[in-house]
Amino acid sequence: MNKTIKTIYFLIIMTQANLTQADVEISKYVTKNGVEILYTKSENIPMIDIKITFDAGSNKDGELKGLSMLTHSLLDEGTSKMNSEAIASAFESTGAIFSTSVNKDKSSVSLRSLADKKYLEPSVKMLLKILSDSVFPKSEVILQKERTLSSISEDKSDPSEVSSNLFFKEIYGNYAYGFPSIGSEESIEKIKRKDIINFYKENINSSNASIAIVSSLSKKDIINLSEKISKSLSFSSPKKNGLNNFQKNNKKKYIFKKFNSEQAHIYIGGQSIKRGSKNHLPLYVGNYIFGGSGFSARLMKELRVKRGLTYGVYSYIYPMKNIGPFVVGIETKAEQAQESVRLIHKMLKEFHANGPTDKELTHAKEAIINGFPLRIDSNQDILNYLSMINYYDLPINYLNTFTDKISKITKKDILRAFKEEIDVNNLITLVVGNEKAKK
Amino acid sequence: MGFIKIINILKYFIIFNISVITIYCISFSARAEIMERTLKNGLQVILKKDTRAPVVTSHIWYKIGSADEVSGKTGLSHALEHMMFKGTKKNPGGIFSQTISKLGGKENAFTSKDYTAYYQTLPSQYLEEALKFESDRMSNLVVKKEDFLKEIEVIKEERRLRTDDQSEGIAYEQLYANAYANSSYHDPIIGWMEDLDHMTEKDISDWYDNWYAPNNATAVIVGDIDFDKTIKLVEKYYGAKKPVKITERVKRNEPYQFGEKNVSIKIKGKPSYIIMGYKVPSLNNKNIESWECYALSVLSGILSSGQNSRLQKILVREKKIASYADSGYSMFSRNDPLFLIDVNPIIGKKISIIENELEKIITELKTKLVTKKELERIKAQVLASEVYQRDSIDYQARVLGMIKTSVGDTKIIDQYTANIAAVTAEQVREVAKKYLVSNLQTVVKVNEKIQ
Repeated sequence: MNKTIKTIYFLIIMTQANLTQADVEISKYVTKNGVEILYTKSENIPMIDIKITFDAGSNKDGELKGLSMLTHSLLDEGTSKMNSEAIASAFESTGAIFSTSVNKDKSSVSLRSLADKKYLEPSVKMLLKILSDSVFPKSEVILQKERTLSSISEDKSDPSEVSSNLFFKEIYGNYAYGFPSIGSEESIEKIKRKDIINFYKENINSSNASIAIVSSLSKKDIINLSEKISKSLSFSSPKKNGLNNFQKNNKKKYIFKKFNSEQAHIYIGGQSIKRGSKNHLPLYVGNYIFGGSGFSARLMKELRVKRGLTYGVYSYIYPMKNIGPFVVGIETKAEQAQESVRLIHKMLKEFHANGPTDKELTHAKEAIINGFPLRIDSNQDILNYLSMINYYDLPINYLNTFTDKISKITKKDILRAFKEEIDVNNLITLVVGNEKAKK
Repeated sequence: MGFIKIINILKYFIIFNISVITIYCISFSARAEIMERTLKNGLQVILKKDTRAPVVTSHIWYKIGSADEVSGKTGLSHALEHMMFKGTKKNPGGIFSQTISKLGGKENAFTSKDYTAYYQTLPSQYLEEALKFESDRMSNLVVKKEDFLKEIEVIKEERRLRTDDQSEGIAYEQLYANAYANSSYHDPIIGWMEDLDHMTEKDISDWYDNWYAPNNATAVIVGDIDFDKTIKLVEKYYGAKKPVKITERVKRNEPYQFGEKNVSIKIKGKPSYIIMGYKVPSLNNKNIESWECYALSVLSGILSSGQNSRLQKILVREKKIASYADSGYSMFSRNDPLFLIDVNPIIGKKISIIENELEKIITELKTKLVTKKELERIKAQVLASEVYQRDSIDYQARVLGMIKTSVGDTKIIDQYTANIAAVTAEQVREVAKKYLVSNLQTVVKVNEKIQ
């Protein structure tokens, strides 16, 4: 079943002034054991970026919160034949960069290297060993747990960590998205080496992996490399993720948490949409206008420019595998906390009822469409898109159709999407700050 | 690798208007595609071609930063940077920002001790729009009292966010304030809150009149450009601007330091932390040979670049007393900078234990030669990052602007990798012996007695 599906897309972007052309040629390949690869050739720089994405984010932690992150941070700390130092040497001696990341949905293992075989081969060899033969030495597990505990403890003194953790807990309760990926002191204490080994075996495997590659390599080399990576991954049916049985459920609640800081950290929001929702792009454009475009957005204009209340205020909609959040965030000195909360609620209700003005909508659409070449102007950007398209099962022409879809969005679409997805009367409002910030 | 340090000390080097970007590993690519010119009015222009995407980044760098400020008036350069977004007679309010946004561009600005810079990144066919607006605000800024009164409150919020509520931010500020007795690196870029309270719109417009002129600026444009067309555009928009007489910069040389400075600060509810700085030369220092700067750079790499670096290996892995450890040095600064080392202890580990281990690490650097393997690692990393950095046009522009503004000569780029590669183990030992000494050292400890 050696099937090669090649899909080529040229993106042509029309702007009012003249023709801009930005091409991303995305090719797809499926390895012998079924791992999907999306790759793009970028000839001008002799380097390669590989990102292997696993359906193994912290939603798979189960009761042992922090397990996914701990496992990923230990991947390069020992194989059956090499210790941590030798592994680091293998990458560093050629200037290669190995890294891992974990969020609530997914995890990834990445390698950046020079493309020349002399540099690339040793680090790829190392990468394959990590994927197939990571052994999680006892002493490394103890050390990494200790560092994680230290980090969790430090976070407790940081108002932005305290407030965001509390906010997501309020929005999602005991659902997987309600817990920070790093875990808690109690859960990290409970994690044993065998839990980590099991997580690795169950999740770092070919059945839930996809690969994105941006490089100056030839097609033949990319296919060879992909087969090697895919072969190094074991196969087992992956553990189910923790994303089932979750119904959208928003409620109105105000929470004040006392914290010894000069500024109050404020979050307002609730659950919004999944990846793939038909309302995603209308919400994206609506949010762009409301709080998602820096100084062009209403929130910045009103709270920073007009009133000098804050250095930064923003909103975002973050669609995830299951229902992601809608968030408005601001930091302001404690005395101004309640004024800011009132203003934001008022602005939200107004936007929800009336949507953007025609002028705002035209501006936003032009900005997004004209700015499209900037989204794909580096290998790093393209790599992240390839990985996202693969992981969230988006159509391979996602980038190709993006600006066209944006151009068709109307005020009506935005109003409808906000009415359907953002319940402005049932939002969580959290204020973390000193006594002066209290209602 | 395991952990990525979230708060990197280098983030305090520069303040961005909107977000913090960390300058991590500095390296440069070949200058084959670079063109340099100086206009008649003194404006320096650096163009660099990168045609990978139909995108361009247009920067203007002013040689003015907190290092040019005086006591009682700190934070002026950064406050002016904020006010530069308030509009001119011809383009009032946020028209500039609105236009850039509508064209699909991104823009921002940042201020350091040495410079203030503004940039727009946008589809390359709109470069002229960016130049039109940017050149207008070089000489026609309108500083209104009502705008200033609001913006200064924004800046105070920025200070609370970055410094007053961040123990590492406070420690960093205290380090510089204590290390330097006379050098203007003594004061924070954002300014002391007390000075922000007294600042007026008149201070801002005077500062603007003194320093914002073609003969105190460098335009850096990198991306999908044609050299001839671009230089003509720069001429068109900047060529007619009159140079101004630049106020002579007060030379504030740092006097001899009679011994180690030790500062212990207490911040309620925060974990303990230690940051130290040694006064070291920049490439601008005419009393030393430049290899010392390259050797100091390599020394910083030996200490903190990668999993096998000494701080990581000894403090984090072997002794298990630190959760993070880092070092930092930039040879591209106008005055002599600090060579920084900072450590976050594992919760419950005493600062004194960290200090003892740091002392041993430094003594070893002064007495024993670093290994060949370590030197090779640094060189491989510099060589690779020279290639990796080509993935960002903005990064390339920033390197050019920074070098031109702080050291004056971009030819350094040609020799950078070779100069790093030429550093020997003996030279690393020699700079360690010369500079990592107590009468160049200042240490700031946060909550050293509190567990």
